[in-house]
Amino acid sequence: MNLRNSTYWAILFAVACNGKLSAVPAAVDVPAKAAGGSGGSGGFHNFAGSGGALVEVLAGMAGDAESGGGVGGSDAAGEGGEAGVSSDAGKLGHPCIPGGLITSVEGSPAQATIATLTRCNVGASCAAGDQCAPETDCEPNAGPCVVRRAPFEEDLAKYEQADAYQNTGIVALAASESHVYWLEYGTRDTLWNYLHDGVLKSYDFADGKTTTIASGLDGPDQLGLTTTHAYISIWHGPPVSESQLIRVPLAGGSPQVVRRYPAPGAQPSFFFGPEGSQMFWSERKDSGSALYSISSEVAAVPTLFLATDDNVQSVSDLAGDGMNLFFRAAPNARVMRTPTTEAAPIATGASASYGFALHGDDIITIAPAVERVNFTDPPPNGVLLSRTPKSGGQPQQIRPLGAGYPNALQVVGDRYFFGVIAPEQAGTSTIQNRVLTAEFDADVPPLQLLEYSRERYDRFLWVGTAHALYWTDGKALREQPLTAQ
Amino acid sequence: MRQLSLWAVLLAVACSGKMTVSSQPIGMSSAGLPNIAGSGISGARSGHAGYSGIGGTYFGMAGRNAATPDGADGGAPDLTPETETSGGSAGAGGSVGGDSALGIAGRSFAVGGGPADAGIGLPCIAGELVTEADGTPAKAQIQTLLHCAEGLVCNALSKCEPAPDCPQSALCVLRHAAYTSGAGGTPGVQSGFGGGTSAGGAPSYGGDGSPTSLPSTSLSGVTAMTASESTVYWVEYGTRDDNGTYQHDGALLSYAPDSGTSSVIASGLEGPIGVEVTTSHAYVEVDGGRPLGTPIRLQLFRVPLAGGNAELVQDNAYHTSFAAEGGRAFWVQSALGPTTIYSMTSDSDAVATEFITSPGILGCLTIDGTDLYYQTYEQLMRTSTGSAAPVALGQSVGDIVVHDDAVFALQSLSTVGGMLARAPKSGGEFVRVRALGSGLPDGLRRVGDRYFFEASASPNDEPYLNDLRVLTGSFVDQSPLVQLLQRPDRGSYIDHLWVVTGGDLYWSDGRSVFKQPLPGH
Repeated sequence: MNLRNSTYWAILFAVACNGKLSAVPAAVDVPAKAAGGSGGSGGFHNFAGSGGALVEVLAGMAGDAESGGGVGGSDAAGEGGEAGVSSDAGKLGHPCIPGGLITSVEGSPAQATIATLTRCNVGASCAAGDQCAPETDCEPNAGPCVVRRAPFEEDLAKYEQADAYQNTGIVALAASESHVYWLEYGTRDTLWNYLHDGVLKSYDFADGKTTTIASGLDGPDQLGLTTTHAYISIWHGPPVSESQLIRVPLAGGSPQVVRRYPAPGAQPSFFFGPEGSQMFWSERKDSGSALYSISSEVAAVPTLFLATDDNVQSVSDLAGDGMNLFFRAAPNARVMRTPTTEAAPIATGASASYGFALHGDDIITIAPAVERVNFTDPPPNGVLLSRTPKSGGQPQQIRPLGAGYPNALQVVGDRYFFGVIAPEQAGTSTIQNRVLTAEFDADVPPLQLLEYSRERYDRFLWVGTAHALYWTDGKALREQPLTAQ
Repeated sequence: MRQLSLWAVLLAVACSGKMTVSSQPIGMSSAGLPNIAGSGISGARSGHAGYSGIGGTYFGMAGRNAATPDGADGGAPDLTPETETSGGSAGAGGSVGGDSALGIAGRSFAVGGGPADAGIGLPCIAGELVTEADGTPAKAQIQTLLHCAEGLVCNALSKCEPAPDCPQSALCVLRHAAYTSGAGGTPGVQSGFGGGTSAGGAPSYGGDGSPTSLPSTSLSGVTAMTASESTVYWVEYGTRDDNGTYQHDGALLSYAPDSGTSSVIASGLEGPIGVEVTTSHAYVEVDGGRPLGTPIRLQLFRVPLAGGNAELVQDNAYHTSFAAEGGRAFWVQSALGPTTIYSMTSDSDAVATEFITSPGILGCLTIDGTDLYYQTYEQLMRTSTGSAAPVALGQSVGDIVVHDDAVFALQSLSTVGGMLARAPKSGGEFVRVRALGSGLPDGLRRVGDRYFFEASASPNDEPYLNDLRVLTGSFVDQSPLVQLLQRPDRGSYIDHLWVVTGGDLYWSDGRSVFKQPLPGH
């Protein structure tokens, strides 16, 4: 999994950038870029269910409050700076970075007004007196805060083989209407022997309580949710030596093995598509994909729903709307639709190279404002939101979303979240991720919830909910409310 | 799968497994023949991952002692303290030579290579307890011994001087091997195909990968060593005349510590490059001693340890690993297709028979009682030696040794250090049980309750000028590891010319065989 996805991201992130964001009213670049952060690419590319929607969970990590990584918006290309902001703004003990409105990629088809929050760098939050203070653990309605600090082996990436570097800390994230769920890989002894103690945890939005739903997980990796179960891929070490897809009741209970994938063989990448209490998932292997489903009954067994053929070479990005299952299929990232009662896939007319989600009667997609002509060209700067009728038809652009290169889309109710990669800072190895949100039916600017620089291969996972964005760098799970601080 | 393939390459290299050969700069050729390192029996297992790999021709790590590129004399050993020399290009002094070898550097370690300040006449280096790989899980305490540069001994004045001939109570020279002046030493690299994640082993770089098609190069001196519980065995390649014509004078020799006597078991061998033993026979791989530049011809012979004629076992075959169960031999023969584990009894009329054939066998044979362990690309396997009934035990791990109820293997922590890992014989996860300090560990061996291994060391953070060390630790206690030997990493089979038996470490620099008492003996 890792190599494949790393390659994908490495390609995706091998970018340079043009375009510029300017502050309103004047286009002023912040002279001092936020140090720290760093960048790089890599990481993985997971998919997690979230209240019936589809979330592309990205990898990444930010700088910290001391170094100045993360927030600040001031890349070399002049992306999003705030006029008159001190270069120390956002750091611990320094003034917060003021929020405001930014005209993004002016003159581009993606030009949009973007709202930013008053904020601090990662690891800090804006406290009284507009000063950045150490971030605090969450209490309900407390503003940006830390839900969970997970055991994390900082040097694992430095010393271990490539396939082990991300086997620490929080490795997967998903959310329902009432909880956010995450997987922690587990801990290691002093010789870095893995102790096979991965856990599935949840955080209740209502009471702020964290619960361990399952423990003793052996190498948990990917996570998907239905209304009744969490589906988890694990690597069960020797002497079993196999990958497994297991499920755990969200209410608690014993894990149940859904499918086994004995070694030798490639560990499949899963794409989950919840449909109420039923789970659909695709397994993508080197040789193609297959789509399975299972109901929530205790005695249920997985059934093959769709096998790939010449017409549908691979399946990913699943989403259901109660009647139909939609998925992205190769070639050409076509969005296909099939009744959930029987596999009869047809193309919808939508193409979703950068992610899709469902809203009402539409398939929602994001895409660059300008497509690259050559793959080796720098990624274009600018994002557009489009919709295509579920019943089929031509995509229709519905909104420019400002700067960046799109890489994720999630819909929660009438709200959508999208992730972009900021234009590359020339001469740096950092990748700057941004997560923004907007409402379909409101004509207010998209709100940038998070801007965050990370090193290549560092982790960055996020999931949106009706009230907050939850995200992690692998070390901590953080909550960013959808309102200003 | 890509990862698995990569591991396969790495493991192939790491599998020291004895049996190696090495007369030829097998370089990387390989593709499908990962374990090229040793085509023969025992001796040089080559393939130290990490060097640039590069195929076809060998990428001589050499470069020490500034040899000439055409394989002419790399120069007599320079027993002076380390000096920097520019160039050095192809080949390497004491080692290498051979056309097209791409030498690195040119740093004159000479025979006295290794510790930079312990050459002839210079003060000895005192033993000390050193903490290595601090700040990592590989952190360990290493006890070094009073020592000098390679081949030198500390005299009564605490100065370094050439080791005297045996018998002595300290480091001594057991044997001065017949050596062709101008041989250029060892081929620049069997190790070439290690290559870690780079070129090594990649099919597109190394020709057809057939070791039997490699051109002969000028080998000389000790090319392989092995030991039984009571005797040390080694082969000497033989010599060439001034025209490079091989003199058909390769030999198999032995030394019995108890009696202190050395013997020539077989002579007139045609370019021996590997040796392993059962209780009844020595299995010797030869390269044919062909004219320089012409294709070698690998053959496996066996010779009764009690003396007698060499008997051809296999012709035109390439062997990568060996294990013995009493008088019965097991070895891996690689080809461009499936790999086969052969076995052969001690009977005088015995013939080699296929024991297991599979495309995925890497080698790394180890025998424990009546169980034979071997590695495939993806699994550690065990089978009864009585009949082939392989059982998968878990992940493939490279070199293994068996002690009591467990299988032990080495693991690397990136490039900073090593760990000893343990798994039940019955199969299961390898759990790290001991930090091994800095350097990439390799070549795990066991003698009684002790394990021995090699580890690289880069004293000045010079990535291509590492030293190579031999260390030992105990299975039964946590006392500090002991560093027995430190010398320049030649990137050739010479690096692996060491064995332990009877309370002594025996090692060779290619020209001589040294005997070094183990601490406490």
